[in-house]
Amino acid sequence: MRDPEKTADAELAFALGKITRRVLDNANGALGEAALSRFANNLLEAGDEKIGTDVLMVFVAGFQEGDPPERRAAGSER
Amino acid sequence: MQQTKAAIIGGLVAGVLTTAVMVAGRKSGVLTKTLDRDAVDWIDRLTGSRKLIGDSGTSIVEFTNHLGASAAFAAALPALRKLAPSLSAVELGTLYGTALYLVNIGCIAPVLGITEGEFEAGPRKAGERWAIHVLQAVVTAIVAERLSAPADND
Repeated sequence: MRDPEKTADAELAFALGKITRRVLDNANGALGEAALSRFANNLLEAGDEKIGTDVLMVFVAGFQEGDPPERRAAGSER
Repeated sequence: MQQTKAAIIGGLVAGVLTTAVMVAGRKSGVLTKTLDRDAVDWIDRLTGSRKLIGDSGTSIVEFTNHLGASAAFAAALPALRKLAPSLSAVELGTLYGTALYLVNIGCIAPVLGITEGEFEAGPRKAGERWAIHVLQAVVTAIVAERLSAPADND
C-alpha cells in the first residue's frame, strides 16, 4: 500500500476497526478470545466481495488491536 | 470536499459498516437480535414481504432504508459541527449517536411497533442498540472529517 490514497484508506480502516472494537467492548464488556475470533471471521464473511480484501483485513487488524491501553498494559505484565 | 457531501458519504460508509457489524455480531453470538432484524420483521408484518420477495428481498429493502436514513442523519452533522467546533469527531459522534438512539429507538421505534421498547428489551439489548448508534455516528463523523480535510501536499 505505497500509494498515498491507499495508505490513507488503510489508516482509516484501521482506526474504524479499533473504534468498532471499543464500542462493542463498551456495550457487552470485553470480548473473549473465542467471541473475538468468531466475530472477526463473520465480519470477513459479511464484507467479502463488498469491501476490498486488503481494506477489510486492515479493518479486522484494527478491530483485534482495539484493546484499551490499560488492558494491553495489564496483559503485557503477565 | 464540501462538508455536507463528505458527511453523506461518511453516513453511507457507516451504514455499510454497522450492517456488517450487526450481521457478524449476531452470527457470532456477540450481539443479540439486532435492529436490522427487528426492522425486517416489522416490514414483513406490515406488508407480508417475506411471502412476496423472501427474507433476502426484505433484508435488501431494510438495508436500502437503513442507508437512506444514514445519509439523511449524516447530512445534519456539519450543522452540529458548527455548534460544537471544539469537540473531536469521536466526542461529537458519541453525542449525536446517543441523541439518535434516544429519539429513534427510545421514542419512535416502539410507537411504530418496530421494537418492544427499551425497558422491555432489557439492559443488554438496549446497550447494544445504543452502541450501534454510537458506532454509526462516530464512523460518520470520522469519515466526514477525513474527506472534508484539506489535502495534505507534503
